[in-house]
Amino acid sequence: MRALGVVPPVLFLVAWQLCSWSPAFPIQTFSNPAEVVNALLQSIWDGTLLRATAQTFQTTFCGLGLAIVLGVPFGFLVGSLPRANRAAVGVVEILRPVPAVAVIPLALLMFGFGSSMESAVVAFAAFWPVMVIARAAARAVDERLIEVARALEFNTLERFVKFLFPAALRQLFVGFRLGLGVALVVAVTVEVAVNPQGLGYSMTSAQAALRPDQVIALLVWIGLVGWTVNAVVALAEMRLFRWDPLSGAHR
Amino acid sequence: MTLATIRLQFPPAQDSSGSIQLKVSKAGLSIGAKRILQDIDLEVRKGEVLCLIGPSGSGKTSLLRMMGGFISASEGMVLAQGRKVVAPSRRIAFVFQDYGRALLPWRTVRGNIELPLEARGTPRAERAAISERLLDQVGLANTSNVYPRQLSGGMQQRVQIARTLAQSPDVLLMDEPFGALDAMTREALQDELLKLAAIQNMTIVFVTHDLEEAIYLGDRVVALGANPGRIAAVVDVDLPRPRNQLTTREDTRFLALRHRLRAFLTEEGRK
Repeated sequence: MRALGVVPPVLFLVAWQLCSWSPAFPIQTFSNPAEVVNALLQSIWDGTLLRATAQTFQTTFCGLGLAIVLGVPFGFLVGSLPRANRAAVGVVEILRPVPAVAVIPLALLMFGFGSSMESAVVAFAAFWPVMVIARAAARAVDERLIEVARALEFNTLERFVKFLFPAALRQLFVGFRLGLGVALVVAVTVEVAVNPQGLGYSMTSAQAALRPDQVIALLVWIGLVGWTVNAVVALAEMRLFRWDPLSGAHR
Repeated sequence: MTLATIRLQFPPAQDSSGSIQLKVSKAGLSIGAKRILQDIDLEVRKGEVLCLIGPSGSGKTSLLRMMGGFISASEGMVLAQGRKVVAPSRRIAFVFQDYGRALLPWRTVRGNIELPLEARGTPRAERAAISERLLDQVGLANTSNVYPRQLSGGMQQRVQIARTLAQSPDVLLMDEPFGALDAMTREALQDELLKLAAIQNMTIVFVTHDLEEAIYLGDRVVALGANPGRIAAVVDVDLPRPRNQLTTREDTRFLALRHRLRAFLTEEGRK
């Protein structure tokens, strides 16, 4: 079954390469597979691709880390205390629909160009899915577990560490994965739009230099990187949730 | 220190007040305008197995939860060794019916059993040996590193019982612990519980909707009436121990008690 998944891309590449030899093909826009592979290897070889990837990763994970550090406690707070939720819900519902790109100007005023600004925008975007899922996870913790914790006279901190957090972790991970997806998208978006660093900026530079082979090589690379990151997270999840017979079954 | 040795240091007190582990005094419970329990007076003696039985709506689980400190009485009070119960305590252990929800699925069997030891501050080095011994006692040797969801229902309930034993409680409160298990497993667990209770002189309050189970296990059976829940009858069970699934259940005294309580419960259920 795995092998079957390789067939369409191979067919596509062959068709693309064949078409590119036709005089009517818009080679200035779409380049061809051979040149794309060449551009990809070239940029790996000279180190520019890896440097740009490192920059994008740094802001993605700084931003996501910030979103988790702020979003999980906040989500737990409003998820377990109905009064806190009522107090916060107004602000949350007004801020949540704000598109992440719309906070770029403010972030620029605050931090200027660079990693800090980009991380801040990423954190803003990833905060919402992480917080919303943490809130739902806190609400879904089985009351029976809380009773077990009470029966054994655990204090508030121990209840959080030994009961609430592990009970919610399975679901929190869904939030982390959603947050990771959002973070990567927003990081590249900020780089394409304004920030002169990372994979997004490499693409705008290649486009300005009229190098479709490089633009497409970067697209392919981002796809590969995204897939790898997801695979690593999925592996971590499988190891972490061995106790759950359902884990792993859905993929 | 084993549970048995703890018991040996405190031989049964001679005066009657010292031998009362739990005392429910003129307790009532209302939720909103609805009266759940009314005028409950009950004493649980050290070392006895007290079974609570009653038709649904008689508040037997509510009474047990009140004894455990999970809910507080609207009137009257619950006293544990003379002190008012205001919150759950490690001295009073609670076995829930739904073992699947009461065990921590992300902890192994050993991790679950060590939970009360962590709560009590037992040194890490001693925990493994204690949990091994408790597992052995409930017939689950060699399952230390298994996760609860990999076990059958009966085995999971054994784990929960071992966990409450690790608390070395004064009183064990059990809320229909075998209600969700098949008949064979239930009988096996009944006998194991009685064996443990005898060895360690445990004090047990056991809620069940199964009349025969109540008589088979109990030294006394307390029958609750419904709407609102109140004590309708207290019956002494004068059957010899150790009990036996065949001979005890065929004993004429067993059958007489069954007849008496059955007639009573049918009448209460009709009210």
